[in-house]
Amino acid sequence: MALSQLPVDTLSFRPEDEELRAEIRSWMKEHDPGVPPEDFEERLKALLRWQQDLHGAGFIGLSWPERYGGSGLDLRAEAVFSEELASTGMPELINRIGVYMCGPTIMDFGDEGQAERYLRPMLDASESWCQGFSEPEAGSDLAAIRTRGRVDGDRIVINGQKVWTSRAHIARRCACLVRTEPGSEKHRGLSLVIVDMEDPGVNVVALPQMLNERHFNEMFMDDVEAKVEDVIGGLGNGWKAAMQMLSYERGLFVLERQIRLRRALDELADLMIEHGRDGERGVRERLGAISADLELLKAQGYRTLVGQAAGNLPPGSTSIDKLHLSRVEQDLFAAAIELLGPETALTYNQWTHDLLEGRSVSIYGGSTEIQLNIISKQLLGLGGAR
Amino acid sequence: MSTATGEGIELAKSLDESLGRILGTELLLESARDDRPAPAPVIETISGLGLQGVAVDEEHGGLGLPLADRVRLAAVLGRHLVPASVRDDAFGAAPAFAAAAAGGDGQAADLLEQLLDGELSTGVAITSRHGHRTFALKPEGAEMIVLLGTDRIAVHVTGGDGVEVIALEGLDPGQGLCRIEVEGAEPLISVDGPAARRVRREFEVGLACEAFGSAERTLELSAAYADEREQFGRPISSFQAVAHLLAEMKLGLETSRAGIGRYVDLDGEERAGEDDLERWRATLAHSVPAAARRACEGAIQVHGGIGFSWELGLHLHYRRILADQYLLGGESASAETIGIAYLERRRTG
Repeated sequence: MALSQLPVDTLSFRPEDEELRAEIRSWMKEHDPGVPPEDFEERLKALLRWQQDLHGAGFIGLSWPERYGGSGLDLRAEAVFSEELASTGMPELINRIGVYMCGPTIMDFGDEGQAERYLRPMLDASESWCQGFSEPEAGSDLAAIRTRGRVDGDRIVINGQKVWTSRAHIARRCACLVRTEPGSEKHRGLSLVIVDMEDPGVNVVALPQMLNERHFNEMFMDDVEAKVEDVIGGLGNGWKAAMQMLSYERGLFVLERQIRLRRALDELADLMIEHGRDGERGVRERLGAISADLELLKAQGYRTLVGQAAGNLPPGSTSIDKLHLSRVEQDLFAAAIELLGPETALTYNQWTHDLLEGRSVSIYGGSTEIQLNIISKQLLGLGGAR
Repeated sequence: MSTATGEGIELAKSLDESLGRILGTELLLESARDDRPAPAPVIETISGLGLQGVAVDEEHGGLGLPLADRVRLAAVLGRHLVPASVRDDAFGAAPAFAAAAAGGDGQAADLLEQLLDGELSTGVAITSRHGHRTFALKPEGAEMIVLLGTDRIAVHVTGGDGVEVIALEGLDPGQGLCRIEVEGAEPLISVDGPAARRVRREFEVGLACEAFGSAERTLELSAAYADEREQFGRPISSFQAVAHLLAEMKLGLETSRAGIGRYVDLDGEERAGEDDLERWRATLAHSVPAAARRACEGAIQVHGGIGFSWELGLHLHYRRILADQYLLGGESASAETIGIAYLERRRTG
């Protein structure tokens, strides 16, 4: 009989972490540019400038080793930064995919040459990154990808199509999952290749999402040339590297998201107070339940960060973060329009915008159903894996 | 980071092993059927395992184990469906007497000694945070009721003036459920302020952890059963409908586990004030029993007709989890408590 694994470690902040928090907070207060402009080009520029400013202040890559341009601190510092960043009017870092996902994966699986070439430009966003995973025939069944990479000496020639590629239209580099071993099937024979988005064979086409906003794209590759030395983790090890990258989509991402959701809930609570509805039982219950779920999301995020830092995250454990995030995000905006009523629900505004946008969270980065499959196999060991 | 001690981990392990032997399903079912506590020798054996002093500092004759160890022990109690009186002594009465003794109450120090020696039996009640009546679990013949209020601990003599104890038939049988009405009675012992609030808070966290441990056990049983039970010629775990039900149970328990871990870590942080701990207590009191209950309901479902039977005993876990949840006020009321405090924070900035 196994003993409960209790209590698990979450992050504990020390006085020096709180000093850093105070420093970041006062910097943010002075430099927060507020809500970015609507216009795409202007917005892009503003976001780029923001990350450059943050980098200039020394806040990007706090947990990265100093030799890669980081500050050599630990994940507590990174968590503090994420939390404080989320309290500004600006959205996520323009190169969050680079800084939080591709960079750490290169540090884990890549070689020194790749680290030298690619890490520093991620920090100041001079090179923004995207992730080329999904394909038209490979969504939930990611291992079914068909994009081919023909190895020719020290070159890889890539042909195929990616879809739902977030930020491909602003990215300079793409971590692209391709099949480099002809005739291989499923998880075998895949490689995670760094593709230069300025290669003439790369064609990025907008794929407007539900709100007619451009977040993601289709990405067509026609004889795109990449280099064997740019394969993260070596030829044939793409699946492992890609899974690692996906697990980095939890951790800090979830933490930051959690703070943004907390801000939305704060706003909703303030509206309820303004409308004199804070004495209603239904209002209190609903806000209370969502508030509790957000606290648990934070606790789970902290737990994941500790596991990532120690390198002992159980396989599949970040599916908990992802599923819980999906639930609470969707619950929150559903509650918002329900509590704010038809005047809000019938009109286009931030709440209805976020309600629609929230439908993506149970799909991207592995759908709810896939996460449940992962939990049942990897965490519960069903079907003989136990 | 949590600061579990080797001593605490060893105690949890040995308890887990011993309890597995002492408290078989058959014995638990028999006591439940007759609505009586586990037989006295069994309770004595459990008492001999040394739990009573876990939350009492060494100065007062206890083990002084940190919170990190105590949450684990509470989960072990839930896992084995240990009689509630054991939990109440260890997590309610003993720390309550210890808090009074630390404040210089000599009588409390004497009573604590008796309690740790197994010579004193008390019932423990927590007042409602939500305007409900006050319920206690009181072993037969208990001489005192330890009333854990939100701001105050008050120990009353059973049968004293102004202390009414009305016995009830409990859903979780054999635990001595009563309703308590105290009017105009002078407590024998009382503690106020932060010390009293801490005892109350940690008692509630203990209830949540007990529900967690109980639910985790039902999930383990269900996962094993789903792999073993075949229908339509294959294990039912191979059907996604069943696998996803189990995964949902796991999801609720894992976020609960993280929440409990957070509470323990926060408790050890310098910057954490009473307000932070109270906020997290409220979160655990709401979320953990709710997730535990859903997990246990899932366990009954996965086991099908067998799960619904008396003899398998899943209902014992269900009854205990429901008792924990409603001693903590229930799902809606506990959510409302969080909402009230949250809106108050927003109003006052």
